[in-house]
Amino acid sequence: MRGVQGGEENIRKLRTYLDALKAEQRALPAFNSTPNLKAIAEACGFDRGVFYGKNSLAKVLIEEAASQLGLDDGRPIAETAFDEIRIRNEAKSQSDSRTKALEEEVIRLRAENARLKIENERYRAIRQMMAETGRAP
Amino acid sequence: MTQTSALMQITSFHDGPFGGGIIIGRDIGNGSEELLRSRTPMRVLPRKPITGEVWRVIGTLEDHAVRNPRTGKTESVRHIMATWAAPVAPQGAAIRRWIARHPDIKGVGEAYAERLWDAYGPSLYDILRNRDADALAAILDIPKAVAIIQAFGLMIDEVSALEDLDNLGLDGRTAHASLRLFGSEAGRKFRENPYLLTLLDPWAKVDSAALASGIMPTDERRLLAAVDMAAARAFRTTENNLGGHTVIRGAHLRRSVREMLGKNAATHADAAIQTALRAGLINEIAPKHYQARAPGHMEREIERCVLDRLERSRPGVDRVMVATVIGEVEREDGILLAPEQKEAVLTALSSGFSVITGGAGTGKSTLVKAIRRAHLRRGGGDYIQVALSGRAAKRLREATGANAMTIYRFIKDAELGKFSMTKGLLVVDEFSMVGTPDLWQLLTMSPPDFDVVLVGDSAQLPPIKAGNPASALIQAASIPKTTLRIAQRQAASTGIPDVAEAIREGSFPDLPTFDLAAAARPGVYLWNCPESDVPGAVIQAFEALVGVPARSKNPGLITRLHQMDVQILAMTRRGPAGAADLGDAIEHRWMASQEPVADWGFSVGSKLLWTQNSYDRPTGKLDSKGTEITVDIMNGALGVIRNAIDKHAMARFDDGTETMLSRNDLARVLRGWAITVHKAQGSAFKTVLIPVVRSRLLDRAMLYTAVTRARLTAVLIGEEAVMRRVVGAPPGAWQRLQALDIDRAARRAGLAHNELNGSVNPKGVVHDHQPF
Repeated sequence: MRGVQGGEENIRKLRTYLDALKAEQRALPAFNSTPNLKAIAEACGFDRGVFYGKNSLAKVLIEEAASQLGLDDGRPIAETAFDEIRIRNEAKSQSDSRTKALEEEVIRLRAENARLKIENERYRAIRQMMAETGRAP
Repeated sequence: MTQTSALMQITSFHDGPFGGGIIIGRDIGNGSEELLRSRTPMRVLPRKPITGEVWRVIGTLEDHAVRNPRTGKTESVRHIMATWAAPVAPQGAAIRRWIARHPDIKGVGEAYAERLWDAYGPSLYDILRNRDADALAAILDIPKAVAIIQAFGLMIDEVSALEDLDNLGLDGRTAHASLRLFGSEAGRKFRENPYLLTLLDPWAKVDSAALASGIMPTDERRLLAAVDMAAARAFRTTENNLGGHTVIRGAHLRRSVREMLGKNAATHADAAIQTALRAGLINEIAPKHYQARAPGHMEREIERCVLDRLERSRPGVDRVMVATVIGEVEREDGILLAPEQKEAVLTALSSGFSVITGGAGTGKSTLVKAIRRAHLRRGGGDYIQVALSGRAAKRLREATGANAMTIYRFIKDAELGKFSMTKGLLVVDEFSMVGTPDLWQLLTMSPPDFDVVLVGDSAQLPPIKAGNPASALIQAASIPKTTLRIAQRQAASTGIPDVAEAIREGSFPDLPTFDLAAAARPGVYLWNCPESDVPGAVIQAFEALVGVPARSKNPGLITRLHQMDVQILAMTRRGPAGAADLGDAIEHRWMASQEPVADWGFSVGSKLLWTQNSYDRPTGKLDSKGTEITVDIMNGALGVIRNAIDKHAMARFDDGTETMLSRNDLARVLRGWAITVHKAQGSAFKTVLIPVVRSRLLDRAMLYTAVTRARLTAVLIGEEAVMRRVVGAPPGAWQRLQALDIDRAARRAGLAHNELNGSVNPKGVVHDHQPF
């Protein structure tokens, strides 16, 4: 479905989703204190690009819902100072291990990228040689 | 002249006009850190140096005058005239700068490099050599440490491999090409088989060195290389239009192999061919017809790409939408598409691969415009249109109002992964100019879900590169195609369409005689004269059209001269009636009184032909942010020098783009008054003068292409008998041997296309139009 019809269908899905949140008295999913558009789009069953169009009605609806329902970024609520420090430490530990994993991934991808660049350059040289001379090394 | 050997840490590199360039760097060998310059020719330079690298340069010291950009004064500066240059591993404090400036080490600048140097000093070299990332990670984060170790490792590998190749006696350029092809294994491979070097160096040089090193004349490695080289010689197109075969006849192959092996081993030619067959170096594609691996691979891949597209299931086409689009285009362009043209739009949208052919001026560009719009309207995905030459791409852009690029640019962008791999449509204009190597690259690098439409005129000149794929694809019964017949570019009253059609069909029509007193009349004319009179007649005809040369500086007159749009289209570059001599003659007469540009041999008003695809050329103009605006100038662009500024000149090209020329650019330009018919493909001019002289290149396709470049008037100058004879004979492209055969490939793949009962050559090899 494309164009105006598709746009209307997406808005209908979004309204249904927001009405359900309101009925269940749940807050809007959030990430870094802003509405988590990816999670919302997935829950509604459309592409998150819907929120990025010009004059997007979807975005306006999300802003309204955020102010009415509040945001939920999934973090536990601390009732004592001890809880707060423990939650912060756990979050830091999680974040550190995520950073470490990402660093390892970066290193692996860089090594792979370097190897692929060399291989690609070799294939390019062979292709050019074939095209120019009619000979394959 | 003093011999010197310097260790330079590179600060910059400046390309020279003929490859090679000037290396500038700090002298770190003697610790003086003084700036050194090295003039490094292309054969010496293994690759372009990168800022921060350390290079050893050997050569003689000479003083050269250099303009100091700060003071504007000319100073005498000492240069090394390099006879040898190569990167070496940086040591000592030079490592610090190498780390800080290496383009692949992101996020590490002078400060981090300084901290590493402070922590480890000279032992940093050993840390890097031993790939000790942990030591670096004590100072930097791990990704940065690993990036440094990786970059250093690659550099060391390259330096060792270049040393190895240097020991084998390879010059810098060959060594670099060897590394690109074989990587760090290059030296070992060449030791195992010295004849592998024939990929990069001439046969005679490699062969004499190999024989001198003790290889026997009948050594299998020598025999195999001779067969491979012989097939490659047949593949290469020469200046006089020979070669260009992707298949070689047995007799031709044997003769060529014998020549290469020389008297000591000539009798082994048959054995060499048999050995090459067993080794899979060549393939007997039809009785006594052989194909080498590379052209065989290209043709089979083209066949695969075509069949993959033909096989793919396709959504239906909304005929109402197509009719609406055609109506819009007809209104915009003020023309009516013929039923066959309307059908071609439907065919292009309903096939994964299709071909549209038609003579000059049959409205192919309008058709492409309609195809593009209908494709986008139906949501068919991306749209890309390409042509072989820069000029043809520009014309396509103007005709369709959409971006168009050269095939060369497309391949480069595809390598960089710039195209989405979703569905889309690729239109190739002027596809008769596209040789087998280019079509192979174009199709294999196109996203597989892109449909392809080829548009062109098969009667035009064959490709400059090997093969003649247009002919094979047009003949293939499996490929949907549309043939257009209604001429539109030239108004029928000029008579050009009728003359073009007659030449296309092989009969030279009776033409009216060219009249100097009424030179600008529309139509096709003949100036029948002996070959020796042709150059003089061309100049007289030019004068009759544009007027006598100005006797003083006269910008107004020069502007009018260019507005007349008279183009000389020569058969060849060389010879008395070639583009070079005729261009010189026009320049010397018509530009004699105009303002010269330094000592270049050009004047304000001179017509130029650009001979390279050049990107990001300077314009001398700044944008709102103060950055210089740049333009792309494509190979084949015609331009005029507008004015001379100091030692520079401003040239405006036919599409309105302007660029600043410097002395270095003289290697990229030719005189534009007369150009070859090959260069004119894809262009149109108000009037064309066509000097016709006997040449291996002269054939029906050449005359057809030349005449159809004219919008209003075409004048054929030469012996009528010669013209009649060449038009009556089959064009040279028909002599090209190739084995590209879509129908045969479809049959082998067991595909049942409805049209497959067509003309499939039972022998397998397509010897265009003529059975062998």
